[in-house]
This record gives sequence, structure tokens and C-alpha cells, in this order.
Amino acid sequence: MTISNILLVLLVILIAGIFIYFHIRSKKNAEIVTNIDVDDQTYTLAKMIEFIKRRLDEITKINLYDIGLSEEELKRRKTKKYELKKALKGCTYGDVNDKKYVKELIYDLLAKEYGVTEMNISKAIPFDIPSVLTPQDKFDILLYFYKKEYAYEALGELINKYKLDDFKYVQGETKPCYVITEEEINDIYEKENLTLAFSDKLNIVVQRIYQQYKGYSSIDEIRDMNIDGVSGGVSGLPESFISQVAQTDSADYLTQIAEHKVQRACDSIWIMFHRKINSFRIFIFWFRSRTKKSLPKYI
Amino acid sequence: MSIVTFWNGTKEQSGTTFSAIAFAVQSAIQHNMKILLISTSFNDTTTRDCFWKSNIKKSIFGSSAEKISNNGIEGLELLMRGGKITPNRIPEYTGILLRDRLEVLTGVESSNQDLYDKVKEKYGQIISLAKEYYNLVVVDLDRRLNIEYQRTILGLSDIIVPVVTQKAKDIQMIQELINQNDILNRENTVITIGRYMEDTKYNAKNITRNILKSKDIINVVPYNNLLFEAAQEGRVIDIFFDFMKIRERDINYRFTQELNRLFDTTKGKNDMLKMKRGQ
Repeated sequence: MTISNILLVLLVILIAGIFIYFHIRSKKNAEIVTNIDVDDQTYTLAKMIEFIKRRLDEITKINLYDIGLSEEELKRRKTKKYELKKALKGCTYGDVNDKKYVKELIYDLLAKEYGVTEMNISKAIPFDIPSVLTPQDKFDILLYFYKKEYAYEALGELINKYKLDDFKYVQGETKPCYVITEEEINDIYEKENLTLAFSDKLNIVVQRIYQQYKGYSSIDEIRDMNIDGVSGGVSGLPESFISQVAQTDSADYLTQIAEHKVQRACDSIWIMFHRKINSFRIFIFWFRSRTKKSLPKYI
Repeated sequence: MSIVTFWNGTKEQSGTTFSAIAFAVQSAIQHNMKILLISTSFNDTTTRDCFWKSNIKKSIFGSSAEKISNNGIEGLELLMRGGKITPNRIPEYTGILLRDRLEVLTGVESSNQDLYDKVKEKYGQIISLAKEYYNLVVVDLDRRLNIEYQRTILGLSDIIVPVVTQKAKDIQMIQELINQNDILNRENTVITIGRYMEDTKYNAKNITRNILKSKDIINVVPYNNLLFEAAQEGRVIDIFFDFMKIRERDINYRFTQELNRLFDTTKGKNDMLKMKRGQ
């Protein structure tokens, strides 16, 4: 081996050494979660969802071999990580226990890491100004309180108490129908005059985050209720039809769609609530739903 | 299979935590049992300091992503809220001291009152579930815990070890509680003197004879300098392994012998209770 070969080998070893040193150093100094920069948008639902997604991803993808655990400890931590992964997977299939566990984890992450407090929680949902609350916010709050008392009978109790399953006429409709309107929810919210503690508010925010991140969007909580069934995406024109129309020159029709004059598939959900009649439908029309998952027609 | 709770029913500091720790470690070394030591303390790291120098292990690859407490009592509390707890899952959240022998579940070490409020409600459930997995659950019951939670835990315990000082007044007070036959009674209570010193008029023999008026010598956990030092350096397990080599002439011999006697007394009482219950 010539001297130049030896020098080259040494050079390669030196470069590799420098590379490994800097790689380890960069990893050592890397922040797992950067400090949360607080601005006007920090405590909005969108930002919170983003944070939760990132944190759960980090927790489930952590390399346990890097932490320097003993064999037994490593085995246990692996089991725990696997359980969390299983819960995150199970909750997407609607497992109630997995959902509860994931929601509690989200609650802890928001309260302990993200710094959600009584002062800033209203940026996610304006609990303190009822006039700004959307009908969906009000419905979520009502359902949360009823669920605390009646568990899975909450929706049934709400419907029975306020006779929401009555056959009624709605403005713009010629025939009577089974419908729950925005006005009814607003009235109920006013009548109930609920006082929300911080933990209640956070639980409602957690549910909203959960339903958008892992759950079934607007129907997530309704789906768990003791009712005969839920149906969504069957109220009007499907998205595929609208995109087809958009490719044609029917500008008038597109304007009507934009102004919500034409019913769209995700504009409402239907629930089958068993009472006197075996099966009937209640039309809830405030949900301009962003249901991302492809749901079966009847769950 | 049984719960032994170390409890300080007096207003004095009697070394309850050290007694519980010493009892659990000595029992784990001497007997082939799965033991879990549960601390119910708040904003206190005494138990952790006894076994570990520091809980932060920063590897050369950087820190862990588990910033939120997925471990210990906090992790268990989350698991309970999520409705996913079973006896088999408790070991995933404990710290291992001696493999298949001794594990520890430390209390709430931070000053987070909200967390403590949540956790203290669940101690009873955790202890009951732990009983199904471990042969022996040793509970170090914090006297600052609300009376109702203390009563719940004492009610769940098979054997209660009231750790008292060497003061005659304290011993008489516990004696009165036993006579009231509420939670403490003659069958389930093993009065023990913590931080015991022999060279005084109020030694175990005299206390037994004159105050308790009993034939069985009262149990004691002698004050031990080496344990006191080791507890601050995270070497409690090591010190108990060292104690295995000592002989009768060693000043620490009495300490280990008294711990063994305490184990025998609790075991004897527990066996008697089981026989009575027909188990």
C-alpha cells in the first residue's frame, strides 16, 4: 500500500468521523417540540389540530432505542407505544374506549403542553359570547352537558325533552317534515342557560379537535348515541356532480350552488330515532359538514 | 395478593416513608415475591431520590419526545380516564427496582395541584387493581391526603402499619383507635415505631410491657444512618444488598432483623385474616 493510499484512507475515515460527529450533535440539540410561539392564531382550532397531529406523530414515532433504556423498560415502553398506536387506529373505526383514551390524551396535551387556559380557550370556540356561537357550537355544548348526565341516551333525552321529533312545517317547504332547525337549537341553548367550567370548555374543544382529526366529523358524537342510525352525504348534489357542472358553462347554476340555494350532499345529516314510529328521519340542516371520511350511507 | 399500608396517624414525623421503603426492599430481597411500592405523596421526590439519582437520561442522540407524562402515576391516571386500565397494564407504568421482585410507583412529584386532585381520587382503584397483579402491595400513605381518601385506602388494606414515634402519647392514641374498632382493629393492625432508638427508657420492651400491656414485643424500624445516607444518593437497593453480608456483631444487623420480624408479623396477621375469611 502506497503512502497516498494510506493518506486517502485516513482522509475518508476523518470525513466520516466529522460527519458522524455533526450528525449526532445536530440530533442532540434538536428540539422535539419547538416552543409554542403565541400569537392571535395560536389558540384557534386549526392551529390546535396541527399541534395535536404533530405531537401524536412524535409520540408514536419516537425511537425508543435512542433513549438508553434497560431491556425491561424498553419492553414496557414498546408495549405502551403499541397500545397508543392501537388506540389511534381503533378510534378511527369508532371504538368508544379508544376514542375516550385518545380524547383524554388530547386533553392533557392541550392543557399541559399547549398552554390552553381559561383566558385563551374562547379563541377556539367563543364560549363567553353566546351570540357568536354557531348552531353547531351550541349543539355540541348541549350534547356535552346532556351526555354528562344521560351518557348515550343524551340525544334521545334532548329530543324528547324539547319535542324535537314533532312533525312540523319549515319555511320554504310546502309539506311538513321531521326537522330540527337552527332556531330550535338557539332556543334550547337559551333555555338551558348552561354555566361552563374550564374543564367543560376544554372537553368540548377536545371533542371538536378529535372529530376533525380522527373522528367522523359532525356526526362523531351523534353516532355514539343510542339511536337507530345516522346517515350523511345523502341530502342533495354530490361533490362529483358539482365539479362536473363546473366544467360546463352553467354559470347560473354554479352561482346558485355558491349561494347555498341548492342542497348539497353534505349539507345535512339524517338520524333515525326510534320512538313511536319504527323509523323516521330528522333533518338537521346546519351542518355544512366537512366530512372527509367516506362514510357508509347508514352507520 | 395483599395490601400493607404504612400510615402515620399522628402529628409527628415518624419516618413512615423510610419504613415503607425499607420494608418493601428487604421483603423483596428476602422473599421471592412480586412487590409494588406505591407512594401517595405530593410535590415530593423522597421515594424517587431513594432509588434513582436523576430520572433524566439524555442519550447522545438527544432527548425523548415523551414530554408529556406518559409514565408513572400520571400515565396510569390517563389510562384510567381512558377506561383502558387492567391489572396487567400497571407494570407498564412502574419503575423497576429489582426485576420480577420490586417495582415502585412514585407519587405526584410536581406541584401540579390539579393533577394531584385527579390522581388522589383514583388511588383506591389503582391499589385494588395492583393487588390482583402483585403478591404484595406496600402503600406509603401520605398523611396530607384528605381524610376520606385515607379512609378509602385504609379500608382497602389487608394490614395497616401505623408508624408512630417513640412517644408514649402517640402509641396510646393509636391504641385508642384500635379499641374503637373502626378501621383499625386488633386483627389488621401492626403498630410499629419508626426511627427507633434502643438506648432509652422508652424502648420496645418497656413500651410493650407498660403501655401496650401485651406479650408480643412491639415492632420497630430502627433509625439507620446508612439508609439515611443512601436515600439521598439513590443507593437504597445497594445498601440492602450490602446488609445481606453483615453478621450479628454488625450494628446494622438489628435493623434488618427488625424488618424481617415486621414482615413475619404482617404475614402472620394476614394469614390469620385469610383463614378467618375462609380464603
